Amino acid sequence: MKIFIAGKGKELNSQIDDRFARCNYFVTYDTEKKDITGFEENQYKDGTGGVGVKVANYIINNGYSVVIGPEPGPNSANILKEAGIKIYVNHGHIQDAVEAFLKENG
Amino acid sequence: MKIAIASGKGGTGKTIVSTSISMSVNNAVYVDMDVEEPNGAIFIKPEISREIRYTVPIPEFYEDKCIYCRKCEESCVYNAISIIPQAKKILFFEELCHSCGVCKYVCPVEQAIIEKPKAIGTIRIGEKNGLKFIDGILDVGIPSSVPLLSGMKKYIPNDEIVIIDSPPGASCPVVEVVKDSDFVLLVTEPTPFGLNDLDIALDIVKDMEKPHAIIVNKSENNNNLAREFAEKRGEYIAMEIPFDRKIAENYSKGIPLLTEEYKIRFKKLVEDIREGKL
Repeated sequence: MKIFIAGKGKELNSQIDDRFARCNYFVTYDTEKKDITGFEENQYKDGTGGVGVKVANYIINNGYSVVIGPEPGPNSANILKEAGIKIYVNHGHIQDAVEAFLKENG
Repeated sequence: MKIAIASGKGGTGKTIVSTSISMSVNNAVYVDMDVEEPNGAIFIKPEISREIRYTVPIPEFYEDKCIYCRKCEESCVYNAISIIPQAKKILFFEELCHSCGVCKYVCPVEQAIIEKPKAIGTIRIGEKNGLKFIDGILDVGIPSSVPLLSGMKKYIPNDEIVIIDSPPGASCPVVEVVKDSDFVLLVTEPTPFGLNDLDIALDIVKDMEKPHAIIVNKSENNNNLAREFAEKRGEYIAMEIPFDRKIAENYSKGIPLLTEEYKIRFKKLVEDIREGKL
C-alpha cells in the first residue's frame, strides 16, 4: 500500500510539513517494503491558486491509499474524502507518523 | 474623455471628488466602478431606470455523460475541477473558476459539460438632473470584481466627460478600470499610509503611460508630507482640499463639495485636463 506524505524533507527523519498542498516534498512510503520508495519535489508549491485541488488530484491519480500530513485545506479534504482516501493528521517526524499509522492499522 | 479617479489607499476621498466633479460640470457621465462598496449613489441620488443582472458562464458537469478522461481537469489552469474516476464523481470549485470555457472546449463528449449563466452582480443605469449615472454592485461572496468591471464597460456611453470612480488598491480591479481611461486623478491624503499607497498606484499609472495628476484631500497648511512627496517624485498636485470639519459633516449627510467655489475649481480642473494642460 502506498502512503502519500506531505514532507518538509524527503527522509524518514524529516519533519512533516506545516502546510499540506504547499509542502516541500511528496514522499511515498510503501508499507510492504517498509521504507520510503520515492519522493518528488512539489512543483505546485508556489502556484497562485487552486493548489489544494491540484495536489489532491495528483494523489488520487497516483495510486495512493492513505495520506499523512498536516490538516489539508477544505478543497483537498473534500476531494480526498470523495475518492475514499483516508487522511491521518500528524505534525511530527515522518518516521514517527508512519509508525503511529501502522500501529493503529495493524 | 474618460477620467478615472483612483487612489491606492481607500478612504482618501475618491467618491467625494468624483461625485463633486460629475455634478459640477455639465452633461457628465458618472460611473461608480468601486463595485465592492459602491456609494456614489448616496451623493448623486439618481433615479434608476434600468437594472441589469450581470452573468458569467460557468460549467455544469453531468456525471452520467462524463467518460472520466480528465481532459478538462488537466486543461484548467485555475485548478477548479477534480475528476475522481474511482468514485465516478466530479467536483467543481466555482470560486476558482474564471469562466474561460476551456473545459467545455476540450471535452470529447457532447452534453457532459454545459455552460450555465451565473449572476455575479447588478449594473444600474440612471440619471439625475442631466447627469448620467451608472454603477455596479458586486454580489456578496464573489471573489473577483474584474468580470463585472469589464461587463460594465459595455454600458458606458462615449460621452465627452466620463468620470469613473475607481476601486481602491493597486491590483487587478484598478488596472481593469485605468487601462481604458484617458486621464487619472489620484486622490491621496497627507499621511504615511496615503502616500505609501499612492506611491504604488503611481507606479501602475506610469507603467500604463497614463497622463495623471494628484489631488490632496484632508490637506493642512502645516503638513507638507504630500507636497514633499510630489516634489520628490516629480508629480503635479492639481488641487488641495482642506481638512475641514464642515466638509466631513456634509459628507456624512450625503452632500458632496458643491459650493460655488468648488464648482468653479472642479470645472477648471476638467477644462485643464481636456485641454491637455495637466
